Amino acid sequence: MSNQGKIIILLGMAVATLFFGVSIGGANIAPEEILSVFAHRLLAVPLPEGFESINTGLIWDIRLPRVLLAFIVGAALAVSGAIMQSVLKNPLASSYTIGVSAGAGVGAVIVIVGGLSSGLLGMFLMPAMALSFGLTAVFTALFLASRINHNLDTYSTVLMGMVLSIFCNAVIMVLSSKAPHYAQQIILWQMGSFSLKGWTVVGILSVVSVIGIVILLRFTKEMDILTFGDEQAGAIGIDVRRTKIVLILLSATLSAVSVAFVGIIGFVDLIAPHIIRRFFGSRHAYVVPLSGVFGGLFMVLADLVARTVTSPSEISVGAVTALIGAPFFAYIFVIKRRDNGV
Amino acid sequence: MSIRTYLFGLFLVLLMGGGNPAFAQDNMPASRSNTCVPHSLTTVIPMVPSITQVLIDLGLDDRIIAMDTQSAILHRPGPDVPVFDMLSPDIEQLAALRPSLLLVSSISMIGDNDPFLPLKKLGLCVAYVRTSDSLDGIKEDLRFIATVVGRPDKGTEIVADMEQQLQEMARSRPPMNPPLKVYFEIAPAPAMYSFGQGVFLNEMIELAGAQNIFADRNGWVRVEAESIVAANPDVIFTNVSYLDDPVAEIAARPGWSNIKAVRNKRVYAIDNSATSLPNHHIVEGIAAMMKALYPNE
Repeated sequence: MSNQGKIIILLGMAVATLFFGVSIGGANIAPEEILSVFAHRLLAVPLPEGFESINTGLIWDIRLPRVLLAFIVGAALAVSGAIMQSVLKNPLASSYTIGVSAGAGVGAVIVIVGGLSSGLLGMFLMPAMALSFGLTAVFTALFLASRINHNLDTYSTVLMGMVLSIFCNAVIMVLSSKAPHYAQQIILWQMGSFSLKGWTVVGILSVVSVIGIVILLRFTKEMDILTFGDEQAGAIGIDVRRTKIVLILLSATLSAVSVAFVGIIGFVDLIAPHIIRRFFGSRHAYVVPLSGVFGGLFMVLADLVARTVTSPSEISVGAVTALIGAPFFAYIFVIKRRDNGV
Repeated sequence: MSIRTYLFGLFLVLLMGGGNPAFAQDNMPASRSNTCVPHSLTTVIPMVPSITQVLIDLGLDDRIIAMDTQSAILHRPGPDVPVFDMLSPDIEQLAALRPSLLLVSSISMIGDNDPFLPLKKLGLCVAYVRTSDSLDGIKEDLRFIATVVGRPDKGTEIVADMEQQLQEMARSRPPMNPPLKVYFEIAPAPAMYSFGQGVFLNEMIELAGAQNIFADRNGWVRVEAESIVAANPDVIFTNVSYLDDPVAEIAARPGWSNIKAVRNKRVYAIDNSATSLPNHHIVEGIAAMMKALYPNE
């Protein structure tokens, strides 16, 4: 099948997933009721007589922002993963590898342990600290790596990222063992959740993600050339160091913003780019945007499972991404490959 | 043990205060057998806040020479009282204190791992108290602790007092048909936790004459926002203690303003220790709930 055909199928799947995400939930609401809420909110069509006002809030303020947030975060993380795998030439790399999540964790834990996480102040302080610490960790890793190798070769960058992650995780451990009273909050933050974030978070994250992804898309040619190796890319005329720094910082920002608002959710950044490359080849003009689409739809599905399968209980969405993702990943790579006789 | 397992265990302890039937595998020695009863009690070390409270009410506060970190948060002992972690206690330091009795809860057991076993092997007197999930169990535990520390009469007295208060509450409770629907939150958004059957808090809500919206569930549950809104509770309780204003946090949640409890400003903070520690103080927790449920009585 041509790539165009496959893209249409993928986009169709994304739309279908969003549709399912909005129609299924812990509260049983009929499709026509959901439609009237949409008509009411978007087109100012009055609600039918006897419509339960509680359902409006349920659909418009709880379910819809949650589904959109899952899509945006999934897309941002997957794009970020695609860039990191490409720039670091490592199929297991993600922005978490170079210290984003560990750094953001330190920022969040400082706020929690300082007792500042509640109230209006905490609502902004938490993400602000997580974001600035996540990015500081990446800056530090890049700075140290560039002292070892001017062109930021893969080994130096991954090594420094890991050193920094280990250090940050140690700081988190020390802080949480010094403040056992807050251990519960710290663990829950680390598990990640899309629950009850509201429209403000959806707005902030979509603006940042769209800007980040659009800028990254301008670099797909450079990324293709970088796959030939740093020296060849340099010979062709690419400023290897500058390109790498821009790409790493942008993709780190994408995932740091997500982590800051919803906590640490893994796996989607790892699998989405691999699956897209499996079906669309490795040209970055395809891999980068389509990883985003796949990551978004995958995250909406994972969150749908997290909030409905054991309803009224909820499972951690991070656990679901790994539970669905790992077997799916294995299927794509082992079974499909065998079928194709590769 | 990895830091994750350790923290998660600690989280459960914090969540439950002192007892958790759903998570902690209750495979500890039954409280009646395998327990050491000291000949004379000169010093005692409790290792969970619910037991510390019982010892103080039994009039033994001057014999408590050390306690666990959670008890210390609650009771703020002097600087000369050493404090130990209930999951990974400093065994050497504990042994050096040579208490006549160490009172341990099943919450300290993770799987088959009893962190206090080395102390028993050293010949120290260790008594195990299981974690209760019901009112009857709480009474039984109280009598048991009172017997082990040599104050059985005082124990019987506290239980009788507790029963009398419960009877008075049952009499003063206005008849409500149907009963008010209650959502009781023990951990705030985004990962909200509540509970169903088999948790003493569920029994407390029933004794207050109300109905838990998650009464059809079992044990402690992480609940999902939509089902709470759809259940439309009349009253919301929270015993979250680490937020400045847990009531305002609940009222401000997106999509929650249409819940009856939020609309009618019937979201109440309930004292955490009276609703998280499985001992006779739960009577105060029930009284606080009733005061909020029936403001005109």
